[in-house]
Amino acid sequence: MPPTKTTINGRSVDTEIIARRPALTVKVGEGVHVVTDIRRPSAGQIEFSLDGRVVRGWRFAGADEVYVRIAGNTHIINVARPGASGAGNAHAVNDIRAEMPGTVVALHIAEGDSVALGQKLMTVESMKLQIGVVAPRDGVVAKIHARLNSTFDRGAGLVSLAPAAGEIEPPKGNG
Amino acid sequence: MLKRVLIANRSEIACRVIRTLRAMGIGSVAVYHLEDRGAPHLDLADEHVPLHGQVPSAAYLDQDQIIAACKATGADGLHPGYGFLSENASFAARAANEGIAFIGPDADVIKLMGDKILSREFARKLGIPIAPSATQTGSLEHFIEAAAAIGFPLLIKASAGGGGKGMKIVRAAKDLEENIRMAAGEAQRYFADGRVYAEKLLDQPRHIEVQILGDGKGNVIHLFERECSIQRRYQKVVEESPAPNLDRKLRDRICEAAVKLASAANYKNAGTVEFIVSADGTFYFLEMNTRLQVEHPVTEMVTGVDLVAEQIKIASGQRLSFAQKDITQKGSAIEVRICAERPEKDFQPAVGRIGLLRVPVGENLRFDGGIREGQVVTPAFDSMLAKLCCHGENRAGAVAGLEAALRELVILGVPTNIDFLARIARNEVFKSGKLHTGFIAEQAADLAPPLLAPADEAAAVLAALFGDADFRRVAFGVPEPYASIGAWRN
Amino acid sequence: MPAIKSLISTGSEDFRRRYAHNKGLAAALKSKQDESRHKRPQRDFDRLAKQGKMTPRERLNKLLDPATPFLELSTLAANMAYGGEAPGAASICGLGIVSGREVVIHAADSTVKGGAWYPLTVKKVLRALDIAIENHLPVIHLCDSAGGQLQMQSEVFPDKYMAGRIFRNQAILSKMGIKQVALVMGHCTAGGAYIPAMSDYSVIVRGTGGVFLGGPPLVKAATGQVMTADEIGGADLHTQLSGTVDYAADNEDECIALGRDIVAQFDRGPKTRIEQAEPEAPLYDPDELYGIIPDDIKHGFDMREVIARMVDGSRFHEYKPAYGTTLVCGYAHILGFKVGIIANNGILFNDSSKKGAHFIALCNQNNTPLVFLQNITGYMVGREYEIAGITKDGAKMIMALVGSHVPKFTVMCHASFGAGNYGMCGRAYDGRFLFTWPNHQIGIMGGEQAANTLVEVKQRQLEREGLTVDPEVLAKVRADTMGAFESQTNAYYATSQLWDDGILDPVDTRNALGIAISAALNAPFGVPGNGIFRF
Repeated sequence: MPPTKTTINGRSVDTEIIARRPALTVKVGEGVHVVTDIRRPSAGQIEFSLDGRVVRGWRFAGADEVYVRIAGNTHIINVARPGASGAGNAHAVNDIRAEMPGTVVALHIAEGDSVALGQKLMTVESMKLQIGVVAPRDGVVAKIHARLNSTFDRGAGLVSLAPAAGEIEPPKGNG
Repeated sequence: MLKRVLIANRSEIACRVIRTLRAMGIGSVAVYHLEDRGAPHLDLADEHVPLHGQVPSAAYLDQDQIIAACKATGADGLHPGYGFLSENASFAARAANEGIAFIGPDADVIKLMGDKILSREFARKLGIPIAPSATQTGSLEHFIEAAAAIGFPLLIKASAGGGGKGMKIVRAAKDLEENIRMAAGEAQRYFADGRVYAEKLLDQPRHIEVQILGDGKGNVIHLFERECSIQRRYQKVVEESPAPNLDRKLRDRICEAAVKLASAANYKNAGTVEFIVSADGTFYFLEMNTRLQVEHPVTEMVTGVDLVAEQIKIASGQRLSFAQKDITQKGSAIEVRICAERPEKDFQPAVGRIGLLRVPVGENLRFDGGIREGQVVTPAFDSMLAKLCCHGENRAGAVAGLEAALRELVILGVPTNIDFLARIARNEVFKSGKLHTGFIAEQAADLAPPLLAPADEAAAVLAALFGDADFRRVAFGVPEPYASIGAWRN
Repeated sequence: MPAIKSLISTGSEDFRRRYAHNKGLAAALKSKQDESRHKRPQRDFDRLAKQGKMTPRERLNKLLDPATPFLELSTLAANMAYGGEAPGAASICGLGIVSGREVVIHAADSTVKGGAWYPLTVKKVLRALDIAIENHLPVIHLCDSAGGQLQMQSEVFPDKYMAGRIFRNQAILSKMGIKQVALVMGHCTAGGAYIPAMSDYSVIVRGTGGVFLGGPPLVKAATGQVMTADEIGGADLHTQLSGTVDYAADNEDECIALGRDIVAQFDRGPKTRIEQAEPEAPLYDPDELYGIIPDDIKHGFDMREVIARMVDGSRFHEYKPAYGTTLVCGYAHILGFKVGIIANNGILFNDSSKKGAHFIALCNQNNTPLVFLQNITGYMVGREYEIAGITKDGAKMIMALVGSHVPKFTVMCHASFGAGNYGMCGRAYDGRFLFTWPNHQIGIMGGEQAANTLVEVKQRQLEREGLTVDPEVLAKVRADTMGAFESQTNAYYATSQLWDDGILDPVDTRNALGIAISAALNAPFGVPGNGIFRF
């Protein structure tokens, strides 16, 4: 597994587990440390021994950041989650397809527009239900395939986003 | 005596007022916008009334809703706290017309003191020194000329303003016009009043203010001074009483000037007269705030007077029950404002959710807060979360106690200035009491977050990761004998 | 449990000579493994880099939990086949920890002929899947394979234990509730396409991953259509339209992270409980094994000295120490796991065979896994021993062994000749794992014995036919036989043919067994019971 990537107060620090026995040994940044006696003395509190020195602090994990307070200093730490973005399959989707057949009842964007993740691109009506079609990622609208008041089938392309910068072009087939 | 008081405010000051109301056996009514549902002041109050509106802060400014809430709950008194409607003369007048005791001075006094130009003129006529200044009466060109005549550096302020909005410092003649125009533009935008005035900017000035109590029946006393020189973005962050290293005689003269001003206005309510004091001992009247001040606790801690209780008694028509000679300063008290902000990013306000709150407790400590665990801090309101105050036998004791309390205080889930405040409390210049309004800028290097030692950085990162489910699984989820074997390859 | 008292003198001439010899064998093993793992024409690495792909070993290291072992299996498979053009049989298989779970990893080695399947590739992958089935271990497939070697299709495709068996085993695993994840990081062509399709979960890398029965050349040949691999079976097609693959990832790092997260969702069934203690290092340094193993196949050694350098605290409870002394039996712990050890200390006689069969039965009664340490040149031969029933006593060992419901592990320590191989749990006896030391030799008999036997047969044949016995003819028979045995009885040939799960440096045996035993405990033990013992 690659090292766990974090930022602490905006500074990047990688953490890597080196050994678990006889005691947990971790490399944080450039330093190698031995950790023992990890406890949670009370709600929100964390305590452990780092190279024989007792570290006692407070910890709270927000939605994106972890707040840690040790010896009167608060640190804001972000833990990277590789792979999290791909979990929904939506991350680098270029073609937004219809999940069910329907009619375009409103268009909220034009070709060439920059759109943000979650932004409503069009409103479609399907089985008497109006649904917003939202951008699966940040990007630029390359093409709108479904015009206002046009109908479409399930799976039809509605909007295409321009490929994201840095996207790997698929290799030409070598079987 | 009032029977039931509605607090037209929120957060810590609403809690603060309700505590005194409870102690006095007076009923309390809280108002709140939906954004504040679940806020602590709602629990403390006997009743609460929701305010409606698209913009949360505007709801607390909605006079119709607040008056209606008073009527609906039978409140006969109305405490405005600070900010919001606290210095709104028309609101005070309206409350009076509706038969509700507005806990503050009469509308005309609010109006007088609320206008920087008028109030300075009022003070000048009383012989209270005011900083050399120029007021915009006619054309902007005329004003630019008058401002230049004062000499540089200059401070340009909005006539109707406060809170640093529309405030500009001009150090050379060539920058004057542009800054005046910018200040006027901002003043117009923020206060719908484009008038500005210019005043002399003192070198290393101190902000000293005097707490006043007047009963509107001819009795005005002061409760000594507060030092509020430690400011960022023109807003106070550390306040204390008494002011350190302030000549006793100078202090008395300032307090006398404050009483003189308030007496001349037949002042009723608690109020604060603010002065700017230069290093050479000259002082100038700045403005008078006709309300309870954020930093009132330090005065309460050194004088033993409950200022809110006095406000209510005065609003109930009572005379002051004590005289000037009864007021003494005991020890030293200091307050810091805990704000949701990023000091290292120019004190930019921050948002988040208060996930963990641990408040230090001690006989010498006072924590005026309006927050609770789980509360969301939104950009809808001011970034101040709470005030932490410490009393000591002397200033050194108060500062040391405050520093310890700040280290102990835990507010996690939103960036705060707690550590920054603790670094102020540890700063040698601050401890020596050589304060002025440029302190934070001058000591910026010393007040910046220290570079973490690698071991401390590791400790913090690990403390974060040990609570992280993914990391815990990797660190502790490996079974034997794999954990014992380690990174072995055959 | 007392510690073994080692009688080895590490200062002796014997020790030093053996040490140098075996240390040299271990170094040769390491260098062969190194070559097999990493030595490739630069263009193969360049091709991967150009495609934005990691090497399979980089992928493996990113997949495994940090600071955990990986027991790589059959590292030198096919090392003596195909003129050496398929190192490791073009695949990487092994046991490791992913998200805290013990798993089997099967990675196509795309640095070898694009990960194409040779006959021994199929054998190696099938063995990995058998390990998963026998030990109830989830499987992670790192897919990046060009498909079957068309030139060898007759040895890859049609028979029972050929490619089709891979997908059959995948279905069996799924049916057993043993999860599989396919991480498609290259092409899965033709049959290979079924690996993700038969997996319970699958992730594909956008851009470089592709799943199709026919790749661009085949599609062109069959239909005339010219299409890119991505158009025929890329990430978006399979995760959005066909549903053949479950998740898309933007790059290999993300794919691996997703794979790790999928494994983190797996339930962990209870492991079979056996006696266990805190792991403890042996009292004697395992490095001394090099000085104990003989430098001549004909030389014997005391297997207790080996045990002392393999088990926890070097402690060994020896069973029936004074009886049948050519077979050492007893209890010990390996990395905390209680095991019964059966080790050869000479030829198997009637008493040692019966002691062995009895001890196998005891371990079954005691739910104790069995570890066999082979150094066996056979059962004793001759009329006297036949009268005493040496064949039926050997049969008792086999009957007890096959009837065992506890898992069995075998280490080929020096020699494995004749029926002794059977009684000591050779490859045919369903041991969960079997490892070989580099000095080891294996065959129906020793080369010299075979040569002598054949020379004897030839001589009698010539005499029967009344021809003169030409010593040159006999010498040729002798030399030919010796040569053939030489090349086919050594450990590298054995491991090339996948007769084992890999050659081990002797000092690695303890860790390998620890992992193997731990893995085995994921499956419930079998049903106790035996066939008829011939008494």
